[in-house]
Formats: sequence, C-alpha cells, structure tokens
Amino acid sequence: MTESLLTITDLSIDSLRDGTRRRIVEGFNLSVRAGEIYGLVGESGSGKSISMMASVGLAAQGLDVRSGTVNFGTRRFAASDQKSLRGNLSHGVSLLFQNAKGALNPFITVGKQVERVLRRRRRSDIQGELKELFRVVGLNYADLGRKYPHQVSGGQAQRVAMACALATEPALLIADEPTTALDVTTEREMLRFLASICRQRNMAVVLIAHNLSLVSEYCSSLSILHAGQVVETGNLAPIFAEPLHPYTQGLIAAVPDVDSPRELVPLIGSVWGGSSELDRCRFSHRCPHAMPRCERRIPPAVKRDGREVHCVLYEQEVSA
Amino acid sequence: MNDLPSLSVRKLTKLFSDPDRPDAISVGVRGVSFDVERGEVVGLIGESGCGKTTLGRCIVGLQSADSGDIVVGDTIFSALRGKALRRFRKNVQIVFQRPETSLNPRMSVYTFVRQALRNFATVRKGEERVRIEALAALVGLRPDTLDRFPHQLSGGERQRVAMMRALACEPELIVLDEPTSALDVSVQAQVLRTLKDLQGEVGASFLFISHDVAVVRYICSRVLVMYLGVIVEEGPSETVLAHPVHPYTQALLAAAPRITPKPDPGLSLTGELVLGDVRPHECPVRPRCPLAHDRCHKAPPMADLSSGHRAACWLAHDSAPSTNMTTARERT
Repeated sequence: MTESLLTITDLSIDSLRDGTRRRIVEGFNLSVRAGEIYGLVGESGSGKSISMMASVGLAAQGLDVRSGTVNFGTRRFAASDQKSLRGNLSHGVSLLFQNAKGALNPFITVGKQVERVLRRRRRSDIQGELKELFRVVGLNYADLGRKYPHQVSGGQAQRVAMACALATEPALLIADEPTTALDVTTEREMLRFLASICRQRNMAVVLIAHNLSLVSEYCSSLSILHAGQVVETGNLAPIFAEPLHPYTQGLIAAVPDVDSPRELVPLIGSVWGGSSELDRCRFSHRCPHAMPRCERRIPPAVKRDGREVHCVLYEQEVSA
Repeated sequence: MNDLPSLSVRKLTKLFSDPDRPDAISVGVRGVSFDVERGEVVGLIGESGCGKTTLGRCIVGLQSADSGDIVVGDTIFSALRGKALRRFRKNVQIVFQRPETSLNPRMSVYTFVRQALRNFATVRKGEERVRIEALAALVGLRPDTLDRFPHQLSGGERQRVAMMRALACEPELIVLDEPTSALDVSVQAQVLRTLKDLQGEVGASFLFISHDVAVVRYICSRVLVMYLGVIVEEGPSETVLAHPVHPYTQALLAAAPRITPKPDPGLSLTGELVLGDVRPHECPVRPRCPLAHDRCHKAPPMADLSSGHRAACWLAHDSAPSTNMTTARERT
C-alpha cells in the first residue's frame, strides 16, 4: 500500500449567501494515493466541486471554511488558511473543468496557451516540450498549435486543457466533470487517456461526476456525497456489487441501462430539501427507510466489505 | 382516425457549407426519409454535428429545408406559407435541450402556458385555468408552481414547463431535442418516467433526439441512428440497440458508460468526426470505421435485414436476407 498523496480531514464549509450562514459541507474526508483515480459522485449541489476547490485553496467568495486539514505529500495545511493552501499547492495540483472552451482564453492560440503554462516551469527547449505535450494528449502541434479555441472541436479543446494541466507535471489532477460536454465516443477516449496518463506518470486523479456509470470503469475507489455529507465511501467493487446506502442505491436505480432496460426509479425530492438542522442525516427527507433516529444525529461510519457507510440501518446490525 | 403516419419526412436535405473550407463535405441533413407512426416514440441518436438537431428544427419548421417534404398527417407542412403555416404550427411542437433559455423569464408559468393556448385558441377563456391546471398535473407539477417564474424553478421543473407548453395545444407530434441531457441523473429519471407515462395519456407521437443510447433504449420503441447527415441504421430499439449491425451503432453502444462495464466492450471508432476526411460518394463513416475496406469508397445502400431493421453498410448488405435494396442516398 502506497502512502496517500492528498488527505483531507474533517473539512467543513459554510455558505454565507443571502446573509444567512448555512453548513454546505460537513466533516468531509478523502484520501487519494499516487497513481489512483478516485471518484467523487453526487448530484449537482451536493458539494463535490466546493469540497475539492476548498481543499486546494480555491474556495469561492461567500464561502467560509470552518475546519479541516489538508495533507499534501509530506506537508500539512489548515483548510481555513486558503491563501497558504493556494500558494503551496498550485505547483502540484492541476484542474480540468467541464467546459473546456470556457476554460481556454479565446484570444490566444491554443499552442500559446500551453506554452505559457510550460514557461512557468522550465526555461530550455520549450518548443520541443510543447510538441511532446501535444503528442501526449493525442494532438498534432503542427496542425492545431496556431488555431484559436473556437476553431477546434470540443474534444480537442478538452485535450488542449489537458495539455495545460499536464504542463506543470502535477502530482494531482482534479477533473471536474471533464467529459459531460463531450460525445460518448470522445468521452470514452478521454477517460481511457486519463487512465493511461495516470498510470504512466503515477499521477493521482480526483474524478468528479454526477453519474455513477462514468466512474464504474476507471476508478478504484470512490466517495458518494449528498448535501455535503459523505454517505458511502471505499473500494469501488463492493459498493457497485452491493450498494448499502439508500442514496447510492437510488443513484444506481436512476441510471438507464443500455443492455437490459428496466423501469427507472427516480430519487424523490431535492438535495437540500430537508430541514436545515445540522445534526441529522441529510438524506432522511428523501429516504424510503427514514426513521426518527435519522433526525437525531449524523450517522457514524459503519465499516463493511472494504467500504464505510453512514446510515443507521447498518448501525443496528453492529450493535445487535 | 386515419392510418396516415403522424410524421413523414421525405428526402429532406438541409446543408450548411463552410466558406473557409469549400472542398470539405457540408454538414446538415442529406436526403433523409422516415416515418413516425401515430402514438409512436422514435429515437434519433448520433454524435454532435451529425445533423440530428437540424433535422428536428426542420421538422417543426424553425428552419426551411433546401429540398424535400415534411408531411404531418395529411398536410405537407413544409409547403405551407403565411396564415396557414401559422395555424398549422399547433400540430408540431418542440421541447429544447436547455429550458432556461427556452422559457420566458418575465412570464409566470401560468402566463407562459396560457400564451400557447391563446395563440391557437384551443380552449375558451373561461376554461383556461382548468386546462392549465390539468396540464400541470399531467407533467407532474404542483399547482403552486403555476404562479412562479422560471428562475424560481429547478432544472427538472423548467423542463416540465417546457413539456407543458408543448402539450398545451394538443399537437400531433412533439420533437424533444435532448430534453434530459442538461439534467442530473436523478432528475433525468423523473422526467423520463413522466414522459413515458404521458405518452400513454396524450395521443401525440414523439421524436426523441438524444446522444444517450441508454435513454433512447428506455423510452423509444424505434430508433434511427444518424451519422453526418444520413441515417445509417434504423429499426426497433430492442433489435438495433441489442444486436446492432452497423459498425457505427456498435461503436456508439460500446462507448456508452455503464454501471457494470462490459468485459469486452467491442468496436471503437478512431478519432473524431473530421469533415475534411470524408469524400463525396463514399460511406461517411469510412475514415473512422475499424472495419473499413475498399468497397467503402462507394456509399453502401440501405439493406433490409429483418422487419423494419435496416442498415447502410456493405457488411449488412452481404448478410441481408433479400436482394431488395433501396438506395439510401442519391448523393453524398
């Protein structure tokens, strides 16, 4: 077992929007090893992006990081000190976003954009390295280098963004829904490529997705997040084989299956529909198994088959 | 009721050429023909740029075709002009991909849907409230949503409003252009369930445009697979999506994300759709097809495989039971 590269412990974030304080991430933990693709899954608004951004010092305005520590490599930072996190992690961490064309500067050729990132790291043989980077992401520098973002396809733009991300030789890549805007065929190529780069460079990847079927093939472990709480986390295989948390079960039942069509079972309600009480399971208002106990406290982790699940249903079995 | 199909598209062509690249093949729709039977849900799948949205826009009359006819019921919709066209629009409605841009931000849901009713004077003014409340119930919206504005609604609710508006004037056909691809999986499941239930209750036929094969498999009884402006495979969903014949359909299915990944996913296409690679009069999939061979430089005809299942591929042509071929496209 290799040492973990990034460890986030007990991250809590408040939102101060509309003059009211609201806890939007509660006790978030995550641990990623080098060379691993880690899946972070949940619906929109469940706090996936916010948690990851805050843990590298990029918490948006109006967010207040209340607690948490971030271990990156051998160093340790307080999550509330966003400035120091940002300064220290910016060389080891790269980001990849959903809308690649939006992430690229429309006024600068794609070649120049990658070059600018590259110049931050090295002084010599920039051109050679640039061509090599384009080759690595599956593009031809001679064909594309002088084009502007609007002249390339969505898949190519995402590859250019990838080249920018890889130019700093990061130890960790945070990929925030990198393929949502792409076609299925391009999506598959992109994820396969991500997996191979991750192996070759021993780079860690946190893959943020809202669809469980996306992470099933490429991740070794994952966390499922609902309304700022991790509900189930651990090795991918047991979670997919036998999802324990009702939310994980619900997410799986909501995905249409190409091979054997079955009736879809939608999740009822919305992520933040429940009461704003802090000490409770935040899934209880949507849960088919909800009981009074769910409202009393945050369910503690119960360990089972290489994963942890936060649900009172399983707590019972342990005490019995 | 008559036995005519709800929609009959006949040799529809609408091409967009790129002035910067006059030698490249034009994008759009080239000579597409198909029918949608009354009450049927037909899926149209393909990658971005294959012409599926253009086809949808031509069908509802948002774009005029270069040539070919759109026949709705017994009327040649594409030949109508002026008042007759305006009146006839009630029969073909569309739901767009992004409801936040297709709803009027300054109108409450009630006013917005009422406008559709008044446009076509489908109900008397005194009955509007009752009708709109019934429509809200039909798409699964609570009555209090009617007094809200689009920015107060969630993505799923907005898409339901768009469906409500489309259903308001009791159309013959509704084109749904990627109605769930902007939604979360859980919301998508809710909207798909509603659409499936709706389909039984209203008489309309649906043309469901999507790039998601799993969604199409769930909701559609028949499917059309489109590539670079032509239909390359069509047939009943369970046949085409379980036993695809065309390499392109196979690759689309292989690439679909799954909860349980297949050990051997099958064919995959190489690269992206590059227009410059495709020459006129050849199979459009050839530059990316792993099974391409010399014959593919000539466009393959549509081969009939089994009841309603057809594919435009030389390999399908070889295995087709009959020699009864129809030429799929006049020119490429």
